[in-house]
Amino acid sequence: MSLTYAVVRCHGLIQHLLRKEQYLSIVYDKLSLGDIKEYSEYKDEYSLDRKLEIITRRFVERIIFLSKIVEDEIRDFLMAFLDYLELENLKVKLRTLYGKEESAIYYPYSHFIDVNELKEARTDHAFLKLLRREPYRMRMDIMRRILRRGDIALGEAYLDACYYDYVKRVIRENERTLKVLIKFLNYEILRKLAYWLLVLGEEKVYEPITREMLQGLMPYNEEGRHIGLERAIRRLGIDVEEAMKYIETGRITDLMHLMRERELRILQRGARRRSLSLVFIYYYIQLCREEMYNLYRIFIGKENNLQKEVIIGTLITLL
Amino acid sequence: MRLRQQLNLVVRGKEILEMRREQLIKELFEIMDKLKERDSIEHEYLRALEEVCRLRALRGEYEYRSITSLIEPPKAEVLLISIQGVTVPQVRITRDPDLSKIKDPEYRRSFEMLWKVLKKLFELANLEVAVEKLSKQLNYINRIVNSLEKNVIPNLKEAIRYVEEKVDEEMLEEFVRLREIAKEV
Repeated sequence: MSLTYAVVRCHGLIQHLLRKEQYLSIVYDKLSLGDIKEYSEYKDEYSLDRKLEIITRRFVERIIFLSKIVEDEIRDFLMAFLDYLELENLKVKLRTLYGKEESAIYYPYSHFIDVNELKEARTDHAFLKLLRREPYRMRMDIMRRILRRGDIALGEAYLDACYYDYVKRVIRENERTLKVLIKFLNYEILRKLAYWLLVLGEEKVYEPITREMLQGLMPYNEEGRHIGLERAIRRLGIDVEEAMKYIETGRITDLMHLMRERELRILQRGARRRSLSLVFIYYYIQLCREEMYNLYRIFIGKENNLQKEVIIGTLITLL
Repeated sequence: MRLRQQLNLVVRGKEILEMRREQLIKELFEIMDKLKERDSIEHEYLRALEEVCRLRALRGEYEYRSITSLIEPPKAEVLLISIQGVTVPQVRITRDPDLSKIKDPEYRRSFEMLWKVLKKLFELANLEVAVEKLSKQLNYINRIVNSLEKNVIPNLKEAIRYVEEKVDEEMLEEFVRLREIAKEV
């Protein structure tokens, strides 16, 4: 089907996404998520795990539905976007190989690696066997070295890099159609890069060996460049002094939250300007993802008796 | 004579118990002083917990649970120690949680902060148990002192008085009898 048709559908579908007032009503218990048609399966008495599963499934269904009405090259990109959940599952597995399996939960999503197979993989060997699968193209020698050292953080960074390599590959293969998204995808990659620069340190990220491993964490077509933390922050239009305050007080999550919000605002402006292009579809799928995260924040916050004001402070609302 | 010895022993015992009671009260007051920090420690604990919960909400349950699975849990044991001769169970932490596998500085900072406060809470719990045990002992001593003061000592005194009266009466009777015999002779 044509791109225009898909974009017009997205203009309609966006009306089904939750608005700020609805989030507030859920936080203040004036509205149950189950009262919203999109989440009719939800019940307040369900456990947190079940609630999160319903929310995630809804997100996955939305993207899969959209992938069925777009052209092949856009479909590949949408699926690559969704495969982020699979990558997160790989990270969970990596951590549990060095921790405890019983406390872990996995996103209810599989594309190339079956989530049940992943859960069953109890050894490094079984895990590596799963990583061999396309399209992540992970280098076994690198992953084996990481597992041998037990360097979980570097392992996670490598998984992120492989994922973005895969997304960039999908764009490269269909550059004519997808090039409009490069700018926006780069903001997301920059946020990830900033996170790893903070966790691993700039020196480690740009060590010759690690640099080669983490190429995927560099923005599209900027793979050879050296992008420092300040530069990554500045490119998202965030005041470096403000960011430094977060870093000095160890509030990395708040900084990432701010970067994510900025990234979405830039995308929102882009989608308004090019409301009949692929950018609008990208904007819609990003909003779907943010709705999932917002609902996570609300229900995790409620489960842990966080003050309502604190929960509201964690939400990113654009609608 | 035996009753007098018994009374002396009981009075001395009562004095010793009173001294012990004073020592226990002094110890209790010292512990209670330390317990005054409870409010600020609880406040600190709630703040640390809120920080962790906020992090949990922002990072998501999937990440949070697998990250926490990397923590090697702390180890603690319960020891019986003696405070002023009273046996008190106390929790001793033998190993702090191992957070070395967590590289994310914010997770580490939040968990370290929470553990620091939790350790203070353990200390507080130890003090509270000590207060409870010492109070029980104090109560027991009070009951014994009261019973000695209100019951045993007056009873002994009464018994001594009775015996003394009896002895006096017998002596008087003997004296009268002797005088009568003397008159007749």
